[in-house]
This record gives sequence, C-alpha cells and structure tokens, in this order.
Amino acid sequence: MQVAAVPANKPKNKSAPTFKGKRGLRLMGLNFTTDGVVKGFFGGNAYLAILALLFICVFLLKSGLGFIPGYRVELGEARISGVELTNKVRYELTGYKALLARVNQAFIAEKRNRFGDEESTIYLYEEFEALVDDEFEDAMETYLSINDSPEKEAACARLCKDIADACNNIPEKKLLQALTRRLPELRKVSTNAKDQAIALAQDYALNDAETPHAVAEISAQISKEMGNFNTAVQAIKSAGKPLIQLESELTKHTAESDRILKLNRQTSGSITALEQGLKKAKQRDEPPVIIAAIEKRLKKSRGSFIEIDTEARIKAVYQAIENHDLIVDTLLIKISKAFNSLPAELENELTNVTIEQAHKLNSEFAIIVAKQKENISAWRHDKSITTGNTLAAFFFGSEWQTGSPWQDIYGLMPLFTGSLLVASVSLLFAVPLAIGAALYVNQFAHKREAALVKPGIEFIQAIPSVVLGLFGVLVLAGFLKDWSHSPLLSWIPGFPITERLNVLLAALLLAFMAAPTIFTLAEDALNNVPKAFTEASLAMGATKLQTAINVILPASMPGIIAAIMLGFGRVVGETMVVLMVAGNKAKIPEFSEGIGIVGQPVHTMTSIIAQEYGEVTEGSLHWQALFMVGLVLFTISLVINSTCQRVLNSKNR
Amino acid sequence: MNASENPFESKRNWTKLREKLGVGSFGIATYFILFCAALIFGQIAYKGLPTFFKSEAPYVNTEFFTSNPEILRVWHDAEGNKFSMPDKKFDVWRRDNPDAVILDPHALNYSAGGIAGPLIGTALLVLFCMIIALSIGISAAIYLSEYCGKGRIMSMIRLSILNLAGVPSIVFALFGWGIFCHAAPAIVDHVDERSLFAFSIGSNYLSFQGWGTSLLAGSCTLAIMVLPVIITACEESLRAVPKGFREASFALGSSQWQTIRKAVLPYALPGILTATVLGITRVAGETAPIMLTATSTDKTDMPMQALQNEGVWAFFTQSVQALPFHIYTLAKLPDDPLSKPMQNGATFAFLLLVMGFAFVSILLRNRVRKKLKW
Repeated sequence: MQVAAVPANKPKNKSAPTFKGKRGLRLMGLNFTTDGVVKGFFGGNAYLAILALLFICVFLLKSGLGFIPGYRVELGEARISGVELTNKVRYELTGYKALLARVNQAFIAEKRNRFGDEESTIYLYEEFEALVDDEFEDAMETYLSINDSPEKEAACARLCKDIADACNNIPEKKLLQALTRRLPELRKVSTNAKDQAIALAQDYALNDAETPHAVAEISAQISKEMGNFNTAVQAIKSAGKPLIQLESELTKHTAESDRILKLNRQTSGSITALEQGLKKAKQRDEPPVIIAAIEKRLKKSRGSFIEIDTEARIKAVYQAIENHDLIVDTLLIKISKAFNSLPAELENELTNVTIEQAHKLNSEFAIIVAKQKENISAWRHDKSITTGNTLAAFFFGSEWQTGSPWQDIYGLMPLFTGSLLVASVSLLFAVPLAIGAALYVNQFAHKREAALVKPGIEFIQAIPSVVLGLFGVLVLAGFLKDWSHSPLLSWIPGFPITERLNVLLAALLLAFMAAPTIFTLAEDALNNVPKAFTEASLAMGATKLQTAINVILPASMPGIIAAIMLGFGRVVGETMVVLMVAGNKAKIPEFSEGIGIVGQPVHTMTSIIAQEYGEVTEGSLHWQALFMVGLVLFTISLVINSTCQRVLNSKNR
Repeated sequence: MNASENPFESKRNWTKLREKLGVGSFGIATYFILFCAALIFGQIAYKGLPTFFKSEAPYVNTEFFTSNPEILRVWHDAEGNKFSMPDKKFDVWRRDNPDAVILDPHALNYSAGGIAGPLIGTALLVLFCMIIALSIGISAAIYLSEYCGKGRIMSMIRLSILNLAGVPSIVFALFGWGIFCHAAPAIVDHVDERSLFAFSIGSNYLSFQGWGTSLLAGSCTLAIMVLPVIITACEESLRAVPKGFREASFALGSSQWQTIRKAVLPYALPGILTATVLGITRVAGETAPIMLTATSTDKTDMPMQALQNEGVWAFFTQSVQALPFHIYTLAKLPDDPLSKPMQNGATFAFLLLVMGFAFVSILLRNRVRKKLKW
C-alpha cells in the first residue's frame, strides 16, 4: 500500500516575525490599540461601578442631612406656638393614664377573684333570660293563664324543668364565650354560678318576666364589698380631671397658632418661588400674559399670609400653665392618699401583683412629674433652637409619631432600641448554636458527615426572608402563644406572652437566619488555626474537647468575634421578617419588665422604612426623616463591616 | 496497699464523660439547626404541595402556574350549600344561571387563579438585573484584578466594595426609590409636576422625574445591590488563577487582552458562574427593594401586554407583580381557609425556586473547588 507522502518540508512562505508594534486606529491624536480599548472599557465599567456605589453614599447623605434644618424649623414653630409645652403636659397625662389603667385592672382582677362566681351568675342569668324570652314566651303565657293551684304547681314544675334542661343544653363553650366577653381570661363556667343563674331564670319566668330582686341585690352587694377599693379607684379617676382640663386648654391655645405658622411657612415658600419665577420670566421677555398671571398668583399668595401675634397668643399659654405645679402636686397627694386607703394585703395573687405594678407606675409618674415640672418652669417660648438641639431631638427623642393631626415627632430611640433588642435576643439564640455547630463540624465530625452538614447549613442562608416571615405569621406565632400559655412552660421567665407578634418571635426567626452566617464565618476562623497548635495540645495529653475549647477556640477568637458581629449586622439590616412579625409598635420597650420585655411588640429602623415609604410625599420632612434612618442603618453596617474586615485582615497577616 | 489498684488503670472517667457530653452537645446544636430547617421546609412543602397537584388527569395543577391571581367569589345558596368560584368563571356562571340565589356573597382577594404574573415578573426583574450587574460587575472585576496594581487607593476601593456588600438591602432599596423612582432622567411628552428639572429636546422633553415604580427601577436597584457581591466574588475567582499562567502567556508574547482572554478567563469562568448563580439566589429572594421600587398591588395584567400595546419604553416603566411581594401581600390577607391554598402554594413555589438556585450554586462551587486545584 502506498501511503501518501508527507512533505518533508513545509513551504517557507511565511516571513520571519517582525517585532513591530501593532498599529491601532489613530483618532484625535490618540493611538487606539485593541488592548487600550479593552482596558478603557473595563476601566470605564469599574469606575462606573465605583461611582455608582459612591453616589449612594452621597445621595443618602444629601437626602438625610436635609432633614436636620427642616426639622429645626418645625421644632422652632412648635416652641413659639407652645406645642412643645403642651407635649410636656401630655407626657404627664400619659403617665397618669397608664397608672389609672393599671389600678382599674387591679380592681377588675380583685372583683373577679372575690365575686367572680356572683358576677358570672349575673351574666349567665342575662344569657338565660334572653333564652327564656326567645323560647318560653308561649309556655310562660299559658302558665300565667292557669288559675287552678294544683295544675299550676304541675305546670310550674314542668316549666322549671324545661328551662333547666334548655339552659343545661347550651354548650359550655358558648356560655364561656359569652362570659369572657365581660370577664376576660375566665377559664371555665362554675357549676355553682350556673345553678344559681338557672334558678334566677326560672324565677324570672314564673314572675311574669320580671327581673328578680336577687340580681340587683347581688350587684349591690358586690359594689358594697368592693367599697374601699371602689372609692380609691374613683378618687384616682376624679383627681386627674384638672390635669386633663389643663391639657385640653393648652391644646386649644397652641394648636391654632401652630397651624397658622405652618400655613405661613408654606405661603412664604410659594411667594419666594413665584418671585424668582417672575424675575426669570422678566429676564426672558416672556409674553405679558404669563407675567400678569404670575403677578396675580403672587398677589393672591401675599394676601393669604395670615398675620399672627405669637407674643399675645403665648400669654394665654403661660397663664394656663401657671397652675400646673399646683394641679400636679394635688394630683400626686390625692393619688398617694387613695393608694393608702387600699386594703394592704389581698388574697388574690394577681391583684397584689397588679397593685404592686401600679405602685411602681405611681413612683414613675412622680418622677415624670418632677422632671416635667422642672422642664416646664425652665421653658421659654423665645429661646432659639440650635442644630445641636435638633440633632439631640432626633437621635435621643423617645417618640416616633407620624401621620397624626398633632405635631409629627421624629425620635430615633424607639426604633433604635427595637432594632437592638431584636438583634441581641436573636444572637442569644444563634451564637451558641452556630459556634457549637462550627466546633462540631470542624473538630469532631467525620469528614463525610462534615461534607453533608456544611452545605446543609449553608443552604439555610438562601431561604428568603419573606418566606420565613410568612411562616412566622401563620404558624410560629400561634404556636408560641399557645406554648407560652401552657402550664408546663410557665416556669420560663417572661411567659405567658399576651401579644401575638412580639420580639421573641422575630428574634427566633432572625436567629435562624443569622446562624448559618455565623456558622460559616466561624468555621473559616477555626480552619485558619495552625495545625501545630492542635498537635502540640494533643501531644501534651489533652483530650480533643480540651484542645478544641482551650486551644483552638481562643486562637480563633478574633475571627469568631468578627463572625458574631457580621451576624449582628445581618440581623439589624433584616427587613421583611421584622416587618411581618415584630408587631410594629413605635414605642420604647419597657425595660422595667425584665425578661418579659421579649413579649412586647416593637418597631425597628428597617421596618419603619418599609412601612412608611408609601405614605410620604417626595421631599417632605417625613421623606427626609426616612432617609435619615437609612443613613443611620448605613453607618452602623459600615462600621461593623469595616471593623470585621480589619480584624480578619490583621489575623491573616 | 490495695493489691487490686492498678497504677495503669485509667482514672479519667470524669474526663471521658465530660468529653462525651461536650461533643454531644455540639452535635446536638448542629443537628438542631438542620432539624429546624427540615421542619420549616417540611411544613411549607406539606401545606404547599396539595396546591400543585389535583386529583384528575393530568394531576398537575397547570392553572396554578399559568394564570394570574384572581378574586375568589364566595357565597351560599338558600339551602346553605357553599360555593366558591374565581371571578372570571363567576361572570360566565352568572350569565348562565341568572336566577340563582346568592346569599352572603363576599370576595377574597388573590385567593384564586395562580402565580403566573408574579413568576414572570420575578423572572424579568432577575433577568434585567443580572444583565446590568454582570456586564458592569465582571468588567469591573477584570479591571480591578488584572489592570490595577496593589496601590493604597485600589486596596481602599476594594475594601469599600467589600463593605458595601454587607449593607442592608433596605438601604439600597431606599436609594433606588429616591433615585430611580423619583429622580432618574426620562424622555417624556409632557413634564410631570414632580420633575426636578427638564429641558426640551425636539418635540419631547428630557425630564428628571424618575421612572416611577417600574420594572426598570427595580432591576437597577437590584443590580446596584448585588454589584458589590458580584465584583468581590468574580475578582476572587480571577485572583485564584495562578500568576504562572499569566507570566507564561506574556512570555509567549501575547498582549494583556490576549492573556486575559486565553489564559485567565477560561480558568476563572466556573468561579464567575458560581458568583452569578449566587447573585441570582440573592436577588430572587429579596423583597424589600422590589417592594419599594418595582411592584404595586393593583397591577393585574401580564407584563407582555404593555410591550404589545404601548411599546418598549412603556414595557420597562410599568410596575410588575413579583413573587416575593405577592407572598407578602398574601400574608396580610384576612385569615380565611379559602385563601390558604394560594398562600401555601405560592410560598412553596417561591421557596423551591430560590432553593433550586442555591442548590445549583453550592453544587457548582463544590465542583469548582474539587476540579481546579493548582
């Protein structure tokens, strides 16, 4: 066979390579080579990305910082008009109202304990009365029309039996439902009360639908026995009237001037805008029709400017506030008198606890009053508000109140404490679990086990937050509430929880989100510990657990702390879960409740943005306030991240 | 001296017990986390799966995946029989039975139909977001790793990009809402009142009035949010290619671009792909940014209709439905057993979608780690 001959030498038609530089396209004196263009393209994109990210910082800063001067103007108006002063009185009033509510609660608890049976008798009787009216009307009439005595007796017995049967046939659940409407937290219908109520209902039927005297007697007895307590509650209630009056008087005086000041500010804003427009229009030689139209609007705006004499108006406010010290002092004295007249030790545990809480609220109220008294006497409407004041009012303000007809107040504290509380409680759960898991996977687990567990935990990171939030709302919220009410778990501090959506619920879900983050980073940190450390420790005779806890854990501490901090950052920045399950109540949680604090609803910095973005108008103060909150979040996360980067980098070196 | 005392006997029973207890508790912590995950996943799957299937052929509830969310009409007739019907069917039924007795009628929002609209909306958002983020992010990563030195400024820029990767999504959402929805430039026929400023070009105006809540604003916001993640991850995978590859390529006389194209990118590609899937996972699961910038509850028609009827610009500036926001809306519905199937089905579908992407990214990453070792 012949094989095609392979040419021994390829024809040398290729010239030897020359070392001339490639020539690119010459444009405008620049030499565009492929490399240069590609580099330019990549560089351009890189700088575009960097600029975009830089732009975020600038934009947030600009939008947020515009808030400070705007808020300063609003605070100034609130001061000149006296709204600020009214707020101080309102704080007192809120304290007083909380106290009153607590005392009322104690009263109801005591009443239920001592006369729960009697009261439920009355309410049950009312239920049965309605039943008798509905179903036994004819029977009652026939019974009344009988005159013959033996027959009447028989009819009486029959009617009584029928009523008793009908009453007993009502399912217990339904009765309980009717009762809990009046007497909340009742667990079961007492047989005693039911029997009595049935007897009363029978009485009612036999006596031509006339309410038996016994019912009124029971009520009278209850109010008589509760006498002392009742007078004390009434005394506290009536003692507050002057304060309430003072507040409404102040509101009347100040709200009007605040409204006028705000209107004037708007008018003057539009006047300056119109003046500028007019100037521009004149420069551009616009047709006279347009200029005339602008002038007309300008005139109208000037006309709607309302003259206001704040000095005269504020005089009435000062006059009203003069009595303030006297009013609150008498109020305090009256309240303490009323407290003294309360029976010292009651049988019911719940009442005692509630009264104790009321006592605590009373001392808190006294502190509030003392503070506000000082504030009020130091308050002057003509003191100017500085930028420092405004910043303090935003960062340390204890109220976030928007969309109300009264003054909008932007204080970061409720949101900040809410974020912090949720995050720290969630870390309390997440950190031990995640670090334990990291130690296990890194130190003790079999290689194959680790290869399964690690991606498994990392997988959790991908669960979308809105899904977790939905799970929390639909499933976990109900479970948590039921569990917290079960007597088996009542030893856990903070249980039972009354709110459905609360800090604990949000914290549990967030812990589940933060655990994988902490786990991954902590595992990395453990991995980075030099092998020599472990070997040295084992050679000294230490067990694996001792090595892990005493050698590896301390050696990787910086990395683990960084992991925890990044986990914290992730939790603080999480939006959907807290928006859906944390309860959204913008109020500083009450730290006085100890661990019970986890049962309260809170609002956080992230959820306030997600909740209120829909109701703000562009460029308004509220809009700027939201950006300010965003700026705070941004700063927090940057600080956390950069600290962690530094820790991690220094360790790698 | 007691003879039975063996000096070599192990005396460390306590230590052993402690060892076992310690390791055991760490193990419990590990499996507790996994158990919680399994519980949540199982619960959602158990409740959601019935919505996916039905009892007759073809056994898959195709309507759930192919139709838009609808209102469910609920009523009962004189005998107390309960009826429930999607809105469109109800209209037809009503025409056929004009004198049927309808008592206590009420409507349950979003409780009928399916999730086609939200699914398509999410797909579009992710698609456009990834187009923007990848084209900018990969080039930026190439520039940062191949062309830039290790100067002070460059390392600072790198560090700040890394820091931005950890900024909460709601901050990006706020930014996107402020810029893209309210201040971005658009070419319009007539200038809106809220425009920051505008000037005329020909018969139209270039007005800085933003794009409103729209597909475009949402995609851009998501892209900016995911950009730091993509840049960081891509740069890392580019840096993982050994220096020797580049040096060998340069030594053979190739230019920088040739080196990148032939000697660096092919080996970094799996890593870049992983970063992409990771980015998709993150973007698809986000709710807050699209809630502020892209979605609205009153949107009911498919996004394609705008493309057919009004053109490309209208297509991009329409608001869309999106699956995560749809779930958030469903979560706020009043508690009614008839709304549950949609709630659970949509949640499970979304979970599957995101977990699918996560699964792929973890698989890819493990393969990359195994295969490419220098």
